[in-house]
Amino acid sequence: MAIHDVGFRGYEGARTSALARITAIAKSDVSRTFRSWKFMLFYLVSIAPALFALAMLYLKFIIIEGQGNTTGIRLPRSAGNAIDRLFTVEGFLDFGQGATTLLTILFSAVVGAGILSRDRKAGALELYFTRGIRPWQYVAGKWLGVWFLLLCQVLFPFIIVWLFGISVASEESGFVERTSKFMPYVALAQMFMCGTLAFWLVALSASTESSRFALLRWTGGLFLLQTVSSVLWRQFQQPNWLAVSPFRVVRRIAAEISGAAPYPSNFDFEPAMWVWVVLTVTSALWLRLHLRPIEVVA
Amino acid sequence: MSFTAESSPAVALTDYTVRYGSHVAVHSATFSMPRGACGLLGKNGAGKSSILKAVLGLIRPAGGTGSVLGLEVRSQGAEVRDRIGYMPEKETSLPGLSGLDMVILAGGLSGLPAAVAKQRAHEVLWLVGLEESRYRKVEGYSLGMKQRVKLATALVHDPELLFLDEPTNGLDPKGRQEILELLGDLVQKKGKSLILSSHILPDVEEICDHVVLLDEGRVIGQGPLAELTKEAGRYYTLRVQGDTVACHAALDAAGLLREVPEQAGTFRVYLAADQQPDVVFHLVQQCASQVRLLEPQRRTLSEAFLDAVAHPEAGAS
Repeated sequence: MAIHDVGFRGYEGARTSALARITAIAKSDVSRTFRSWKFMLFYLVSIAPALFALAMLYLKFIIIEGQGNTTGIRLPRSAGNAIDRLFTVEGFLDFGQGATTLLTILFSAVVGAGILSRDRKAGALELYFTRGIRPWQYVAGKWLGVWFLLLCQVLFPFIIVWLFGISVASEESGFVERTSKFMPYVALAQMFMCGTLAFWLVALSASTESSRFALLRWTGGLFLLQTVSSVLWRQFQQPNWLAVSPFRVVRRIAAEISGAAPYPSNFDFEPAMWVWVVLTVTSALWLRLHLRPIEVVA
Repeated sequence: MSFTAESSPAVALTDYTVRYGSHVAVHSATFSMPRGACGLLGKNGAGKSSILKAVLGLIRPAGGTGSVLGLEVRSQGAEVRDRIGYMPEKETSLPGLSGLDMVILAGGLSGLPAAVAKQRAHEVLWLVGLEESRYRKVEGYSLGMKQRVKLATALVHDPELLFLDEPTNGLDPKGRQEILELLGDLVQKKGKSLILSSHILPDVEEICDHVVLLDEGRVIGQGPLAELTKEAGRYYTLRVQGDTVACHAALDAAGLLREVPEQAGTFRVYLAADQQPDVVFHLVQQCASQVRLLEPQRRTLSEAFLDAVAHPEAGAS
């Protein structure tokens, strides 16, 4: 009897739904990303704003307000008030503003710019497309994975910060009462922001086999448009020029969702919405054009 | 539904045409492959992989209709793919994933629940001989190991039909024999069907019962292997005793000699349709020798293939 006579069993059970298959793709991408120590190192750097926020809360509620328990540290109450100003809706949405933007652009490039390029290069599209899934389900799985990874940088750490704040804040500080009002909207806004960035990333990475090129294109493009939008805004004194930057467009819409003040200036919601629609439709068409499992060789 | 009945062929194509731009890779292919082990034979570039990819929905066919296990390829693509295990010819890996993770993902994509996919991934990796290396990253595998992991991904969801594109490429002789044995067992003992696309004829001969021959994108022959290799009495093995040198020269001069095997006094002769074996006896007698054996031979698959290439119109039907 050959060794495989006892090894192969049939499977008579039911097959899972499309959603479970989409989730399997996302789960595989997320676990693959988190298994890399290089990524973990980068991840720690990219959540620096959240770590800083955590330190600020510790400083305010443990060190300053809980002075009786700490020896050798004396900080004025005004320092505590300054810290309070960090934990507004704007603070939770975009902590440190410029720094968070920079880190998010870099982080999104690392986790998503090569998400389809990598599969194309490795010939893995055949593995996906010869299974019982449809191309849109593959894209949805990839998008879900990148979305989750982006949330790991911009939302989940701040939820931990918020929960930490709730657990240590004194009743008279009003921290819980104040932040509980806007946190659900901040979470919604972050989910929208990450979801949009993830879709654009996935779409853009469909057209190349080179992860490095995809990464450079994403970061270069975003930084360039960010700079161009600032220059045009200052040149023409018209805040709507900020809509040239895709990152500022999603930030503007996220501000609308969360109730935060637009940053860096009060540009209108309507042009931001239009740009968002155009970019998202273009991304979908780009995906349709470029997502082919087989290279056509004439 | 009656479509998916056991009696429906594994693959049936009618006027199937596949194009890459202006290049026609498959010209109006029409054939039916019964359940069991079938070979798709042809030289490199004959259109074997294009047929498999079109049937799997990777390429949109330019024309014709096709069904797999009774399901329409165009309208029921996802259902078809759920019931097929495909092992592609070219390298397929997911960078950063171990062999185990890759097979688990393949199982999940084919609709296995996560826990089942994990359990079956361990089992099939053991089955294909990768139990020791399953936790290693696929990019560090040798070519033979990559072939095995591709086979494991094709098997993990227990498909009814396997599409194997050059499955023994890169395997050493022992590995090749192991994989062929495994495939043979899957067909004979587990009731699976498989389509083996290969240019390695001995692989096909070893496990297939039915073959479709392709050349330059056209079907040049099809049918049960036994039929295609049936000789109809034209090739013979001849063994003589006596003046073997003279016999060699006489057979050669008469245009009957095809091959001289290493065994002394043994020849492979070919008789045309209007010739009788008496011709051989007569020639050998003239050389003062005796015929010890004159046995009709079956054609090898290789000969059948070469004949079909030479006379495509005869075998296409």
